Amino acid sequence: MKEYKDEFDMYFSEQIKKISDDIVSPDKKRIWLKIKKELSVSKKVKKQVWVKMVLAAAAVLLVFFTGFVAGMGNSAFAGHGFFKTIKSFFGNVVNISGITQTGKDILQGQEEINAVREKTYRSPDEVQKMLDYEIVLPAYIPDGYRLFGVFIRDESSRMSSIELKYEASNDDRYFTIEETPVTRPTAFSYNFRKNDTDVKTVYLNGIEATLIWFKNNDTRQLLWHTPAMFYSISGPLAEEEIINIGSSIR
Amino acid sequence: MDMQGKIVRGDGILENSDLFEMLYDKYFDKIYKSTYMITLNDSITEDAVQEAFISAFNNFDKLRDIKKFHAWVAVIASNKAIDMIRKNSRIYPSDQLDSLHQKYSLEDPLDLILDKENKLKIINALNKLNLSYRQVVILRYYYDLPFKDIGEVLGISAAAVKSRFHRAKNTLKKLLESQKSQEGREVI
Repeated sequence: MKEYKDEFDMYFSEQIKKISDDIVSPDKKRIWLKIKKELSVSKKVKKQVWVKMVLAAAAVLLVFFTGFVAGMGNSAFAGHGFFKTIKSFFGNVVNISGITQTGKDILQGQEEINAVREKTYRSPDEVQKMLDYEIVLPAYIPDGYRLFGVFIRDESSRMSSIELKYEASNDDRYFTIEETPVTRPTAFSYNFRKNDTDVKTVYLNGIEATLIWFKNNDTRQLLWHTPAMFYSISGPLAEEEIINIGSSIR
Repeated sequence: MDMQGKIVRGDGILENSDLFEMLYDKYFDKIYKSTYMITLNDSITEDAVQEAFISAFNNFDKLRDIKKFHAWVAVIASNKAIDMIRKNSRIYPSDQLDSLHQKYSLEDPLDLILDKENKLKIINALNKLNLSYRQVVILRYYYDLPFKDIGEVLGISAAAVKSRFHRAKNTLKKLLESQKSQEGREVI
């Protein structure tokens, strides 16, 4: 709502703006160099903190998951990107863990809540207006699939993660692409029975990605990240198809 | 170019500093000037604005609307400046106020002289306001910011900002009135 301004407000506002014209700013290039220098120092400190965090998280996860060696199935069909993947093998169990910067909305507990919540799919343009980052659609989609819609996980956040859902025209198969901007740090970890899954490293335009094949239901998941975003593709896709989709997201 | 699509967080800041540099380049002068009108001191303003941009870059994910970037940084800068002034009371007020006085006292055609006199009165009145009043006055009058937006960044309610602003405005009115009546006495 427009706030009321009286004559004094308008007079004073005008005078203040006139005064500002007489103020001479210092050389902004010189100050920008100082800012850059400060930022580069804080970045170095941050990097050291990250290394410590990754190592600490890895140590915690190792201790934590040794207690789960026999019990975990392939239910962890995770829709998350990662900052740094740590693959560990404990007998029959494969553990994939990582450090993300994506905050509370991608924590596993939240994921379970999302699973029971009815999803509303909107058009990419509509969702784009609700976000402060750019949604990227894949340039390649396998034949027979079409975009069903975009689901925004947290409508109150302009940095919310989103899910693109692609449906097959002829049957009820679908695959999803999750896009999550990097925000706050957190850790995740998933366990799969070695007999049930096959995990390998692949490259998308030179970027390292993790490809998981869930043998039981013949679905795959591809996880990778850029400096700004985490991506995850999940669905009943052939290896070549899922890699081609991932490679076309730029 | 879609600016919002290029925003990169966290460790990506320096590698993707183009956007920030662009925002800095666009808004530095305005933010410097608004902060200066609160501090009336060059060195404090420069330090506060520099720190405000660094802080803004590091907290960029907290900014919901990029259109409010300059106002957001301006509030951060004004807060930092006020902190600095409170911690370093000996270096305040500044001699810079004199330079503005000097600037406005140069001889000019009559209309310009009147204009400068007006500015001088405003500067003098602002200088007599306490810092928190001066802050809301500048944020409100220079940036035309709604009370809600000022409150969000200052961490106080819109009602509290409104109340502070009205107290500041009434004080300003009285100060300007008293300057006017003093002039009247001088003429007599």
